[in-house]
Amino acid sequence: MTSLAEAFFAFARLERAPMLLLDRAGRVLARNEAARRTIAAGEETVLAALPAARFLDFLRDAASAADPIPGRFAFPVSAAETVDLRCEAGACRFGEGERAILLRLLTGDRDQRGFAELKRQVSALNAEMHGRRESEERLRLVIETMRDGVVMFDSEGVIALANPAAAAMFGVAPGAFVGRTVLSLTPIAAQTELSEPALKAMWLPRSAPAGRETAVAVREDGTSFPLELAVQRSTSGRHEVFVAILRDVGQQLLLQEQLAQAQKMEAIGQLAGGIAHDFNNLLTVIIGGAESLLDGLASDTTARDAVRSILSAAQHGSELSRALLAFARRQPLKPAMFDCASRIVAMRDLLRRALRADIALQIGHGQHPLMVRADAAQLDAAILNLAINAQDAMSRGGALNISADAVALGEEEATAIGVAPGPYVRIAVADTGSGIPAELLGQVRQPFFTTKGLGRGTGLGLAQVDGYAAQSGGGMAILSEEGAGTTVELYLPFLAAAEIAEAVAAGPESDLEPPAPASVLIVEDDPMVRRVAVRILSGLDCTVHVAENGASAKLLLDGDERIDLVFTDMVLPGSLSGIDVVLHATARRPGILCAIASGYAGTALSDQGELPAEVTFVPKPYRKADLVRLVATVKARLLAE
Amino acid sequence: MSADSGHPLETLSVDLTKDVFLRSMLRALTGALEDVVGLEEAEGYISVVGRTLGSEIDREYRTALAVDRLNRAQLGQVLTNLKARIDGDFTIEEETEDRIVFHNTRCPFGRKVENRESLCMMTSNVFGLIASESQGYAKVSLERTIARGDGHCRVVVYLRPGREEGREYFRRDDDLAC
Repeated sequence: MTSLAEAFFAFARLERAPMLLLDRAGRVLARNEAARRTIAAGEETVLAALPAARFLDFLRDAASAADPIPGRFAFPVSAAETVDLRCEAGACRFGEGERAILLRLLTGDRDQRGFAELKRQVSALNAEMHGRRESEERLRLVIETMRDGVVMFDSEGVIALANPAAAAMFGVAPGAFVGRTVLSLTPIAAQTELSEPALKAMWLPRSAPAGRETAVAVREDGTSFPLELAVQRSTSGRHEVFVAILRDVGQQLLLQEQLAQAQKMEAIGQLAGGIAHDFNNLLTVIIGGAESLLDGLASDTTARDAVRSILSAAQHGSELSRALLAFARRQPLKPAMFDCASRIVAMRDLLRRALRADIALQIGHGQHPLMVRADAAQLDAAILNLAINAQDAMSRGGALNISADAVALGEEEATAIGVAPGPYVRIAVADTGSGIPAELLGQVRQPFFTTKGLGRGTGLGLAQVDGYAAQSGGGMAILSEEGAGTTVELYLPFLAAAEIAEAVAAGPESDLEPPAPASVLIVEDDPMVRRVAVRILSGLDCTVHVAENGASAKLLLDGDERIDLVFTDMVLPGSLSGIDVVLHATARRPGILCAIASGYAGTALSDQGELPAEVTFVPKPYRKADLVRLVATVKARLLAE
Repeated sequence: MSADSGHPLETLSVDLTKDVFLRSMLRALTGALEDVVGLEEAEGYISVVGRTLGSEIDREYRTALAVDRLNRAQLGQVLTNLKARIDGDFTIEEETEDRIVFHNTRCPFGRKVENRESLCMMTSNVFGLIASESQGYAKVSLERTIARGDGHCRVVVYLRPGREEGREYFRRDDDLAC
């Protein structure tokens, strides 16, 4: 009735004749100022016109008639006195079965017009109400389709209206919301940062407009979530009303946390990658030097043992460096096409030897082949890593299930895993162990985070697996519940049939041929690494040219010196990178063999520029055997020519 | 009892009967009303009379037919019959679930109705009241009228709400409360 009363006041406020809006039982819904002055009948009271039965009949007639009708009754002017007045009444119809009577009293004022005028006023009131109804309907549609929750409540906090989004937010039917108090949505017992008065002031602000506030809300099923609300105080007629816009910001906070975590990981990754890169240079020198020493210490057992220890320690350092690069998603990978299904089945013996006897191992797969393009050896390492983790989580034994199948990830699933939608091979490593507590689940991917005892884990395992999956174009998901085991899922892009056919057509790589004399240009800015490379390559019967940077290398390549192989570091001082050197070399000397040494992976290298397909990649720290293999390729080419 | 002409007055050709007198009086009354308060106001007063008469006629027919409420089939017949009883010539031109269309070539008020459009509120209100009491809702549209000089009347009684022009009537029994 409120909007009807508002529509009535819109034109009756300044009307000189006393006018009242009544329902069909004679109850006063609204009256204008003239009526207030003329007769004794306040809002919500029944107008006591006499004779009462005939007046009621008159109202019913007016409600059913097409046009306003005239009448004459005794109207109360005080508690004890009535006065005879002519009147006219017309029906206002504003909805399905909804009617009100517009009553005008004729007090002898000369300006008063007949009930044809009242008819026009009734029409105007009807039109106003239809307009308001349409407007209300549009507003209702907007509110009902809003993704934010909307609730309207009174000054006691009792909810009078709630949209479906609000009801869904709390897990109740929209109708069940009405009548509850808003304070019950955010029980004081659930609050961590709000006192009871503050909570009440948040829902029922005394000043308007209120800002956005946050409280802990509790759903019907008892679960809680962070609720952001903006409350607006207003009045409807004589009543105070509050409208609150509600938003579940749990997802938003989660995304913010994920973003912050991703940024933190990116920063750690860059740091780790940078350290590992420099570390690799040092290790290259140490390994190269130690291998040279070993060659010259044929008979001195003590010294050889010492050098072997140096080599072993350096090799361990190399593995740590590799793990760091994996986490930083910059490990050198050797991607190749292979079948995941047969690969995991082939790991059975290795895993059986690596795992305790009380771990029941099961390996299986769905369809096969499950072709992917990735570093197969790194996949083996990742699965082994996960299997060892799973074993550690099953201190009293249990079952370890490793499976592979093909899945198609939709938009939502893919986003949750952090990959693009599409077909993937999913490799799942599931255990029946202790599971990961919910509060730790978000941390297990972080490097150096471990729940294992001191000295039992580096904390790089899952970070390394995660890095490997991401670097291979896939992702990793961890499903775990405390006491109910853990499943780690690795997702690798599933190769389409066309990609497989293309790879098969390209044919296998040719085997290596025995070494023959060759001329090599070494481009390396680090003097220690350069010396190691020169020593090894010279020892392999190569003619060695040296350049400290890209510019010097270009000068040599522009000259007449014979060069069969360009062996360059990726990162060089100055404006030219290793890729620039390679591009220059292949432009000036078509068919020349090139190799790039770097601690970064192929995908990380591609950030530096387009890497020619025929360039050989030598991961740092490299060993003598890596360069022997490289030189063997060059000499094989020379023999063939 | 004779006039100066020597002819008895009873035999004189004077157009005056009780019926003519009443119709003439009605014409004069409505004429005075339309002239003084205007057509719209006059229609309002005639409507009040029409509702009162309509209510009485409705009660008469329901009593005679021994029904609490006229059914859909009885409604059209009652409306044409009541007009016939007062010397109208209403026939049903078309009848569907949603409306009844009446055609009339003779007004009960005869030529006295010409230029007295407010008198058509009698038909509108009597038809509207009886139809709404029978069906719950009625809207009467006076599309053509003898009063306006159309030569015949075309009256449509709609029985369901719609966008058509017309006066709406609602059953009174439904109006006990808002």
